[in-house]
Amino acid sequence: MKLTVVKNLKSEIYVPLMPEIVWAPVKKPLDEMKIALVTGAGVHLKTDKRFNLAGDPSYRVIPREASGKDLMVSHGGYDNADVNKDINSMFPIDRLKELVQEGFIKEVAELNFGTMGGGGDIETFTNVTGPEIAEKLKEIKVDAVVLTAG
Amino acid sequence: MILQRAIEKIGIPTVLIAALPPVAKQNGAPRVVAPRVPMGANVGEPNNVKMQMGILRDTLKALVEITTPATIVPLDYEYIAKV
Repeated sequence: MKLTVVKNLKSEIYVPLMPEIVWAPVKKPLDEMKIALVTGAGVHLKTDKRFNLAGDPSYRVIPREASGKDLMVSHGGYDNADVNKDINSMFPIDRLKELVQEGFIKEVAELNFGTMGGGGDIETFTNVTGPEIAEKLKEIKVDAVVLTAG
Repeated sequence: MILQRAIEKIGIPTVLIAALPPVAKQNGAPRVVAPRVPMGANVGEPNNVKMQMGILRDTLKALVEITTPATIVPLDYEYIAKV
């Protein structure tokens, strides 16, 4: 059968398009992995600069030494009640350290990242923030990343 | 999901803990786990260490076990926030 292509013809029915697949294979068992946490939930050190709640494509580094009590959230896009009670509900840094103690994973990454997610300046977030964070994670040889968002 | 895709693209495997899994799927998240939680408590109830540990442990297991891109694994934990 020959396909007919008509320029500018669109389906009347909304057809959702998914972006192309990205896939990095897992290369080692969990107990040999260095794991990083990355979130779009607006998590940062209490001593660090708050996010601009109106939209902010920047990111904050959360060092491995930080515990849940050193962290806070500035994010205008969801109900902060639960994270204000316990940041581990969205950024499980204390739980991840407990998994290291158990020997379930090898270690927590030196650097973890907090952002406000892609709800604002999507272009900067996609072209600058995302690749920059990815590059930093690669530099410190992170084996896998757990994300919380959405 | 933008972040997840950027990290995956550079060669690091990722898994997303999502409260809104259909949105994650639509945006091309490679690996997703979905406990039954409200947005803002994706890793479970505040101060419920047992639930949070369970979700995080199962998330990491899913990271290793998922072999097909865009897979969503439902996790059998439930937290309903009292608003």
